[in-house]
Amino acid sequence: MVVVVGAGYAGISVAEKLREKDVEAKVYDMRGKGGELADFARIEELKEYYAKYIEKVEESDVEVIKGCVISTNPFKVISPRGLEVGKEDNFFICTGAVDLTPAASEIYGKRVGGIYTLETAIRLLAMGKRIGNKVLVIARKEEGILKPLESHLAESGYEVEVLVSEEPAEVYGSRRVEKVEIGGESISCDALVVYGGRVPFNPKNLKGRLAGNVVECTYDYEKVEKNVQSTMF
Amino acid sequence: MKDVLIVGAGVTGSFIAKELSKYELDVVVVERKSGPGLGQTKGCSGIIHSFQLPFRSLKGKLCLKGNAMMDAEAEELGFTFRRVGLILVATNILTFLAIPLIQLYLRLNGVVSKRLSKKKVLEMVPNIRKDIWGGLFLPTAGVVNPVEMTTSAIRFAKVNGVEVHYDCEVTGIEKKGEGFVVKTTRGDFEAKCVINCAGLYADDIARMVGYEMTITPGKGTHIVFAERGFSNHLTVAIPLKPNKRTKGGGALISFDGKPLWGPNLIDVDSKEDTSVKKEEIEGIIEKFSPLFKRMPEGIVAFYAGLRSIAGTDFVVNQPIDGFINVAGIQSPGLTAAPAIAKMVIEMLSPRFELKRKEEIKKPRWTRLSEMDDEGIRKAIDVNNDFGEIVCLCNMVSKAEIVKALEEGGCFDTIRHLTWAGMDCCKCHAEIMRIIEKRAGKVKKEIEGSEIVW
Repeated sequence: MVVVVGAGYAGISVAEKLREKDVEAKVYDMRGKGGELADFARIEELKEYYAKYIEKVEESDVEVIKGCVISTNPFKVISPRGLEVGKEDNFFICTGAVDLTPAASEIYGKRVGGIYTLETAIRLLAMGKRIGNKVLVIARKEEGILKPLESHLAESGYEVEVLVSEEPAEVYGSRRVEKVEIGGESISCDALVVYGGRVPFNPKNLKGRLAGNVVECTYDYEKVEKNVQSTMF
Repeated sequence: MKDVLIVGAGVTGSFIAKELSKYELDVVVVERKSGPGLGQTKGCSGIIHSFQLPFRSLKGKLCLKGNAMMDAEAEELGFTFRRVGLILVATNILTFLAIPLIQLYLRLNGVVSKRLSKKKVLEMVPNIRKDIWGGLFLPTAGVVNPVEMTTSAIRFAKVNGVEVHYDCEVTGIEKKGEGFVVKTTRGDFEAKCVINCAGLYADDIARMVGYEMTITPGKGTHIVFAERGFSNHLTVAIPLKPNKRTKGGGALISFDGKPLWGPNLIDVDSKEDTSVKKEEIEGIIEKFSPLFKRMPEGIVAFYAGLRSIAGTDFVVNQPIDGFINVAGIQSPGLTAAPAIAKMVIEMLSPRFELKRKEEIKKPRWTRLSEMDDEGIRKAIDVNNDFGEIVCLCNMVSKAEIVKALEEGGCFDTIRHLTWAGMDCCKCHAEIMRIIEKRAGKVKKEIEGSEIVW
């Protein structure tokens, strides 16, 4: 018996591969199937950009158990059903990545409303929320997701500027972002979306074979796919 | 007419409200922010200090008293307080030789401490540099989440009949008969007594009744790191020459065990200037990193708070009958808060017949992360929402988020009270989804709230 923690792209792919090999697996996820792809699927431009991966997850009939794995040894799962404690030996950790915080992305200045990581901004957009009117996106490195995101924001009536820069930035504003200074330039905006890179999301330090975005830490799902392939063969 | 009106729901105002709620009095709190403890309180380090120099000062005395009261307060109000202890580290021979003297001086003033050999310090703080000389351990120092502590006091006060108004700014105070009319952005209140706990703006409030004082803001910047367990104690190098204005900060730890370095002290012009400058962050790292072999891993957040400074000591007085100033509450205000509340009750005692309520309600707060397996099982049995983890980093359940909504729909209040979303951004949108579903006003909250780290 193998336990797969996380039912995003990696978790689902791993579970399918295990099934092909006739290995019994249980897949747990604290939120349900799809991981961040479920959010991408709610935004037209991202849905298109990640179509291949979203379809794979949506079409999969792998059963996902809703529950939060908080420890591997002993094996503990918290869910609305209660607390399960047991013993399992084989784990695939497919818990994905999380964006670096604005501070870790060298965003200085006022800590006011309207500063989002790329990840939170996407989640809010997927929930149908407006994140401001004039959005500045500061990315510390190029990522494919930036283009479709920019078109989505523009299509949704936002004024949007995407800046790929490693310069430290300083936020000004009283209750909300009013302007951002970066590289000697001053840009007025009422929302700042920061992408400083990603780090593994595994706060409970679960032990097992790491696969997918928890290793790659990216928005580039080609890399996630490759990682899963290489882990499984 | 109310008996007592408190201006400000920071840590002092909230603790006074909490203490007054135990008596047969009609009390109201007005706060200009959207939740308790979101002004000066939120920006502090969350340290419960063992002592404050000079011992004979008001702040020195109230610090000792407040520290001694803290376990009982935490139990009564239901906030988490951990006496993690502070290690004063001797980094050179001079400060090492001073340790016996420091210990004697502390003992004469009622502060317990324990001398630590170099070996013991290295054992207690594995990441500390090998060339330190030794240290002194102060077991009574501890950590809290200041906003949680404050919100817990307000929750207690509310359960026991105190009225609290948020987004309610005082615009004027007039004397009327035996009492006062307090004008606010949410209408007028009449009260026999007014207690000025307005933090940075206490001077503006005092001036409304003709009392002249000046509060100057002193900024303190902090860095929060991700690596829990980097140090399990507050760690401070013994300074060669103490600074009269600040204890100098340290390599502290946060309420949830993350390294918290700072604060510095920078005089600023504006009472809203909580901006974090790159140079300040570099300065903090430069100051505290020499204590350690390496840096803690991962930066989570920067934040700056403002101390309200009125000279060198707290200002607790009654310049006109029925108007009490509790102003200039700089460090160690958090520690002193329970003792300040007792002091204010005494100041009010000639004016009111202080009759204790027959029944005092004790609101309960349960934290999933502090339960054992059996406790978790029972909690989920009673309420399924305990089984739905929202924030994995600090193990916060949906039940806690929903419960926190009773203290207002403010994103910051929810976050600090529950400890959710304090490490990364994974659960922020989910928290907002829950707020929206329960309180139905998340749009406003997204726009007006501080979704940052």
